[in-house]
Parts: sequence; structure tokens; C-alpha cells
Amino acid sequence: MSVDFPSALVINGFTLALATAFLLIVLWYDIRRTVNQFFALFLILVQFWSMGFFLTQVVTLIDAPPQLFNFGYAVSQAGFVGSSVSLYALMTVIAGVQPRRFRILTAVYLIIGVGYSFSTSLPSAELANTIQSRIFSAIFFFGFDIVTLYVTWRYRRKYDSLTLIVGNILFIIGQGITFVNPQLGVVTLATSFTSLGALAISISIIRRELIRPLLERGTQLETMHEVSVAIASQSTTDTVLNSIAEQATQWLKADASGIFLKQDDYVQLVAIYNLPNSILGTKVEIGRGVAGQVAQDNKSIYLENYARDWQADNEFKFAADTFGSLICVPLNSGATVIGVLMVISGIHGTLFEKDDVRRLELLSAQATVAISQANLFAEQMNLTAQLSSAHQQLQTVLVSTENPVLAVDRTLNLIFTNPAAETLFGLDTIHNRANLTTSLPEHALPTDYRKTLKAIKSKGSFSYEIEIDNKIYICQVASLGESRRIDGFVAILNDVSELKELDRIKSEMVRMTSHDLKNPLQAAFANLELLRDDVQAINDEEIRLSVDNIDRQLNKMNRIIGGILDLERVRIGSTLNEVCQPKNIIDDAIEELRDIASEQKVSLETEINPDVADFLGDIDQFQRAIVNLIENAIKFNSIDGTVLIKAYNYDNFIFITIADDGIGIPEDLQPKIFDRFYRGHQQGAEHISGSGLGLSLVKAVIESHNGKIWVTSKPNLGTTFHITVPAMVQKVNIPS
Amino acid sequence: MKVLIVDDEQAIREALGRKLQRDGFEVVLAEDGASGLRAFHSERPDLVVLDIIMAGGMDGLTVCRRIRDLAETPIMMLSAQAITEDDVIEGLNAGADEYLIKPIRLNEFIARINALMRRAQISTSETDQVYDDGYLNVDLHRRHVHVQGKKVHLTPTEFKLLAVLMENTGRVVPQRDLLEQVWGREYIDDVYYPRVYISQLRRKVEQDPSNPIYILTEHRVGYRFEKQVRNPSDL
Repeated sequence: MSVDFPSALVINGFTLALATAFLLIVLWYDIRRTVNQFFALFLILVQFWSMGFFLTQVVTLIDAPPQLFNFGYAVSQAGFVGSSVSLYALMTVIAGVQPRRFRILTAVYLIIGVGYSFSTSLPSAELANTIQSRIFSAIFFFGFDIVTLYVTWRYRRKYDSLTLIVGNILFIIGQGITFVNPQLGVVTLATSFTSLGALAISISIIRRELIRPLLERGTQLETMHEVSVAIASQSTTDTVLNSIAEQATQWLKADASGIFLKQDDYVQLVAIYNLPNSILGTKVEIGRGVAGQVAQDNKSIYLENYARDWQADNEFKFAADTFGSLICVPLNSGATVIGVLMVISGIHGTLFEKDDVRRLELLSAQATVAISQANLFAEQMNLTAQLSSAHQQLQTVLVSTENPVLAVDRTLNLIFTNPAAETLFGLDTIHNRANLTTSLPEHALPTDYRKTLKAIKSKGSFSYEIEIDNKIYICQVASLGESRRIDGFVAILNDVSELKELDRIKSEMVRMTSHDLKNPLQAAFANLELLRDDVQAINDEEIRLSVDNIDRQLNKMNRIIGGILDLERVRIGSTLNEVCQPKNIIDDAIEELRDIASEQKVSLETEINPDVADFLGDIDQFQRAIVNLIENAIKFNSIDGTVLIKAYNYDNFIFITIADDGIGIPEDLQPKIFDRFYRGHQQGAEHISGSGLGLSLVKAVIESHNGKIWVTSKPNLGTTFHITVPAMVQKVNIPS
Repeated sequence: MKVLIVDDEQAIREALGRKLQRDGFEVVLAEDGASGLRAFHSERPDLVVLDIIMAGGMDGLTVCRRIRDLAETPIMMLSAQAITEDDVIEGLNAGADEYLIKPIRLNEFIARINALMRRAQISTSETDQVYDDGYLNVDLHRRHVHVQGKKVHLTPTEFKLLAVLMENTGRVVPQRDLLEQVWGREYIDDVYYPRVYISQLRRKVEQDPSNPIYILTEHRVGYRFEKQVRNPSDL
């Protein structure tokens, strides 16, 4: 047995040292990774092989007992077989194509191979060279090494490292040489090959598992940052989406990508990178296709080979022919999926790894934020645009309106005036922010601020009349801001001069007409009375009847004219400056009507609360209204009927009711009875005369007292008129 | 008794005239303001009935004022124009003693004419009284009223009203008594009159008619005249 000493020893020693070093590095770095575990296993077995071989050589050199040589030989045999098995396992793990029960099978192979080799070689080296032993070795060697070579070739793209493949082949060649010449004839050559092979494999593993991830972590952060910046720098949703698609494609060294956004029950392709424009807008139902599936499950899908691994629906017809590797991740914020990001590699393009899924998921989180932001931004822009256009429109309306409009803040500083207001008050636009009290003449402002504020708070607005430049305006004031907090006030002025003028003309007409009617009436009355005196002498019954008829008609005419003038009088305005006591007014009214009531056999009753409050008003007018109502109640009552008049207080209001038990007013006529000249043509009331002005006058009087009047009635049971007027606010008398 | 009727409406003028003649009055008719004034000067009537709105240049109010410049002859306004109290007050301001609103029935017209005549003729000799506080000076006998030394013209009705109140100085004169004593029994329901004439009177004699010190209102009862003690420095 010739030994090339010491070269084989040195090479073996180096191999041992390096392998140990690599083993330590890998174990120290991350023992949990499967690749590292199998790499460690491989290195340990290689070391057994080398160590056994080393031992045999050392034993030969120092003439140690043959048992030691046999032990070394057995270790090297076991290591040889074991490294074949573990190399296969390692390559399978790296390629990620482990079959089922891979670990158990590997362990079984190892135990069988290592155990058999060791046990057969241990008694004597010669025994190891028996036919059975060699056949066994051959089965293991060829079996595993050929499979390893096949795996390496089949998944060469996955290894993505020439060093690994070359090292693999070198190692197998070295093993082949050892196998061909187990008697260590060409040991140096074989050792060199296997050592180089193991070294190459180790370097490639170290680079793959240690150096590349470390390097990548740096670049990954950098790329991530770049991607984020690129995405975030886009302001509109469209550009953000396009940017995400582009960045995702480039980051994963992919060929194309697309982004689907979720609508109601489908996802729609809204952005593409390197995909045909014709597919933009494609809709995919939730649950169908890769994108639909991801949107449904909110879980990433990783397809190493689209044509092979995806058997469900295709969202694109050309996908099966053109897509190679594919990763599809959801764009989600929490449990809500807003869309899907799909990154595609062509058939001959990059083969994605599981790790890429994680990276894409990182990107998708960024992208989701960017999309949400862009959406928010777009919404805000839209809102701003709407607001500004609404503001513009309002401004245009206010500026172009002929009605003067003014707005002030809480401290009565002007914040807006339109041209009409500026012209009217001679304001300068520059004087905005000036105080209202200094900018406007005193007579243009409300006289009582507390009253104004109270009215705005209770009714929403307050109006008053002002006169400027011989024109009369109704100024309506309302508050700005929410109902609880008043931010300011807005006032709109309405020129009512023409209406006022019309009103004046109408009043004038009424006066003229009544005057023009009254003069002839006076003449007719006077002459009729003279005639009556003359007729008395003749004593003709028929002439007397005619005179009476004329007299009655003239009287009626007179009453109508009187009624019109009464209304006009109330309308012109009553001065509410007398303290009215409801009890006195009602008592006086009853006193006045006592004769008429007894004529009609109607009894008048009162129920007046002794505490009934006073109110401010025009005693004469109010009393006339009450007289009118009671007179009506008497006239429309049944014989032997009763008219009941009540007066009481309720919540700062005085209530007066006048109830009869007469024929009643049908419901459909009730709203009309307060109309001017309306007279109910109801059965049983034909005999009752009147001008039809009475109730409209009553209504006008009550309303001029800031009161209300309404009627409730049931046919044949009676009618009740209800009046309310605000009670007088009690003034505190300060003793002088 | 001679009554001058000025009204541009012939039918009214003549009917009123005939009625007055039947009741024994002497009647003079005029168809407009100018001829009315001329008739007043030439005929010297004891009472004038005036329409307000008349065709021609001069209206009843102007005629009334012209007459008042010269005489205290009782004047009765008879108008179709009045709608509000203000219209009535305007007429009274011009110096009328009575303001009747058309149409008025002839019997009432005659009654009012008689009452007005009576009021004007009532002698005040029995109330030989002079009031003077420096500001207001009233001589009931001579029918003179001076305010701050200036003579104030009071119509017969106004003077009668003041006289009745002063005769009862310090006492409240109920509205009905006032109506009966000043205007006559026929007027007892015309609660409206005292109010108008009191405010008219206040305007003539009070320094501040809205815060009267001489003629005071007792709400819903009547009116009262109160003497004042004045320092010359107040004036």
C-alpha cells in the first residue's frame, strides 16, 4: 500500500479543519433552519469519512495495532456511505422538494447505511471488501449519488449557484474515485476531489444561508425605504397604484404585476405593470381565480409554477401559457381586504421563493397605507373642492342679490357685507371687521337687543322695520352657527316700500270709498226721515212699509261700511297701552247685552277665575270683540239656552272662552267663519242677520293683541270660541 | 236761533235744513267753504254745521279755523271721513265742539244741535271763580284762560269741561256725570267724548300733555282737577 505522504494527510487535515469551522459557523448562526441542520449532518458525516481515513493513514505511519486501522477504516466507510445519503438530503432540502416522511426516511437510510458499513468494516478491512459489502456500498453510492445528481440538474434554477452545483459534482466524482479504488490507491486524488467538493458546497451554503441574508437585510431595508418613498411621493390613487406595481415588480426581480381593488363582490384590476393594457379593468369575482381567492381568504398565495400548481379558474386566458412563478398577497388593513397585489414571473423568469411572499407582504402593508392615504387625500380634495364651490355659489348668490345682506360675528363686528348692503349703508368693503354699532346709523339697529336675542333663540329669527333714504325695509335677523352656540348673526333687508305704498293706497281707497258711500247714505237717511214725517200725515200703511224696508236696507248698508272701517281701524294699529282687566271687560260686555239676551230668552253665565291676570291692550277694541262674540253666541243660541263665559290663566296666557249650546257650526265651515264677509248659510240660521264682518273683526282685534282665536263646535250641541292673549308681565313697583 | 249748514252735498244740506226748519230753527245753507265763510260773516249764525271734505278750495277744517280766529260760535263737524280717533282729534284741534260721523239719524242730529246750543248758552256766572298759579290762569266768569300769560282759545265744550272739573277741584267727577253735565243727557253713552276732549284740553293747558298735573285720569272712573303750587323758578 503506497501512501503519498504527507500530502494526503495535509489535505485531509485541512478538509477536517475547514469542515469543523464551517460546521461551527452554521450551528452557531442558526440551528433551527432545516438547511443548516442537514448541512451540519452532511459535514459531520464527511468528517467521519475524513477522520476514519486520517486514522488509517496515521495508523499505517506509526505501525499501530491493526484493530485501530480497522476502526479507522470502518469509520471512513460509514462516513462515506452516510455522506452520500446526507448530500442527497441536503440537496433535496435546498431545492425544497422533500417528499413525504423525508426526515424519517433519511434517518432510516442513514442508520441502515452507516450501521451496515460500520459493522461489516469493523472486524477487518478485508472483510469490508467482500462482494456483499461492495454491492451494498454500490447500491448506496449509485442510488443516492445518482438521485442527487438528478435533483441537482432538475432544480438547477432553484439553487441559483454554480458553486453549489460544481461542488456537488466534484464531491460525487471524489466519492466515485474512492469507490472505484477502495484500497486507497488513488487516495490523494479522491481526497482532493471530495475535499474541494465539500469546500465548494460549504462555501455556497455559507453564502446562501449566512452572507446573502445578511447582505439582503441591508438592501431589503434600503429597497423597502425606496419603495415606501416612491409610493408615498404619489398623491393620487392612480399614481400610487402604478408606483406600487412597478416597485413590487422590480423588488422581486419579477416580470409583471397587477393590483386589484375590491369592490362589492368582485375585485377589479386597476393598475398594471408590464401587462397588456387591454386587461385593465378586468373584474374577478370574489373566490374565483388567484386574486379572487386571496381577496376571499385574506391569505397570500404562492405558486411556484402557475400552470402546474393552479388548477382552479384563471383570471387571464393567457396566464397558463405565460405565467411562471406567481405571488399574490392581499392588501389589507386588519381583517378588511381592500385589494390584491399580484406579482408574476414569466415562464423563464425568476423563480420566487417562500421568502419573497414575506417580502411582498411587507410591501403590501406599505401599499395599503399609501392607498388609504391617497384615497383619503382624494376624498379630502374632493370635499375641499365641493366646499369651495358651494362657498363660491353662496358668495355669488349673496353678492348678486338685490337684498342687502350683512353678517356679524358674536361681538357684532362685520364679517360680510354684499354690494347691496355696502351701497345702502355707504360702507367700504375694507371696513369689514368694523363694529356694527359704529358702521350703521342707530335707527337701523334693533332697539331692544335682549328682546331681539330672545326672539332669535325661541323663533329662529327676528324682524323689524327700518327706514333708510325714504325707503322702508323689513330687516330679518337670524343667528349663525349651531343652534346652541351663536357664532354671529346675519341680517337680510327686504325693501317693502312698494308694499307699504300699496298698503297705504289700499287704506286710502278704503277711506275714499267709505266716505263716498257715507255721504249718499247720509242724504238717503235724512231724506227718508223727512219722508217718514210726511207720510205719517197721510197715514198710508203701504207707503209706511216701504219706508221701513228702505230704512232697514240702508241700515244694513251702513253696518257693512261700518264693519269695513272697523277692520281698517284695527289694521291701522291699536295702541296696546291700557291695562285690561278681563273681569271688567266681560262684566261690561254682559251689561251691554243683557237686554238682547233676555229678549232671546238666553241666560248669560260667567266663570271668571278671581286670579285672572291683566293684559295690555286697547280696552275699547277688546271689549267690542268680546261683545261681538257674546252677541253671536246669543243670536245663534237656542231659545232658553245658556251662554257661558269663562276666563282663567294658563302658563302666562289668559284664556277666555265663550260657549253657547246652539245649533253649532259644521266642521267644514269652521275654518271659514273668520273670513271677511263669510256668513254661514246653515240650516236654522237663516233668520239671523249680520254683515259677516263680525268675526273677521274679532279675529283682527285679538291678533292685534298678540293673541289667538279659534273655534270648537259640534252641530246641535253648541259652539265654543277660545281666545288667548299673553298676560301682562308684572312690573315690580319700586317705592319712591 | 240761526244755524249755518256748510255741505257740498245738496241732498244732505237741504234735508238737514228742512229738518231744522221744521223744528223751528232759522237755517242758512252754503255749498262750499268760501261761501260758508261769507255766510258766517253776513248772517252771524248761532251755530255752524260743517262738512270736512268739500269740493272747491277750502275744506271744513280751514273754515273751522277761520271762524275760531274771530268767534267762539259753537261748531259741529259732520264728516264721513273719520276712521280713527286721530281724525276726530284733528277736527277738534281745528276748534270744533262736536264731531259727528256720517251717517247720522235726523232725530239724533237735532238732539245734538240742541245740546250744543245749551252748552254754549249756559251761564257760568254762578261760578265766580278765578284760578291762578302763575302758570295757568283761569277766570271762569269772564271765560278767559291764560297759559304762561298767553291767552288760550277754548271752545265752548272745552271751557264747559274745564269749568265742571274746576268746580269739583280735588274730587273725581265720574264719566257719566261729566257727560251729563257738559254734553247733556243725550250723550250719556258716548264715553268716547270725554276722552277726546280731555286730551284736547290737556294739550291746551298742560305743560306736558302726556304727564298731566292739572287734569288727572282716575282709571275707569272719571277725571279730577288738581290745583298746583308753582314756584316762579319752575317756569
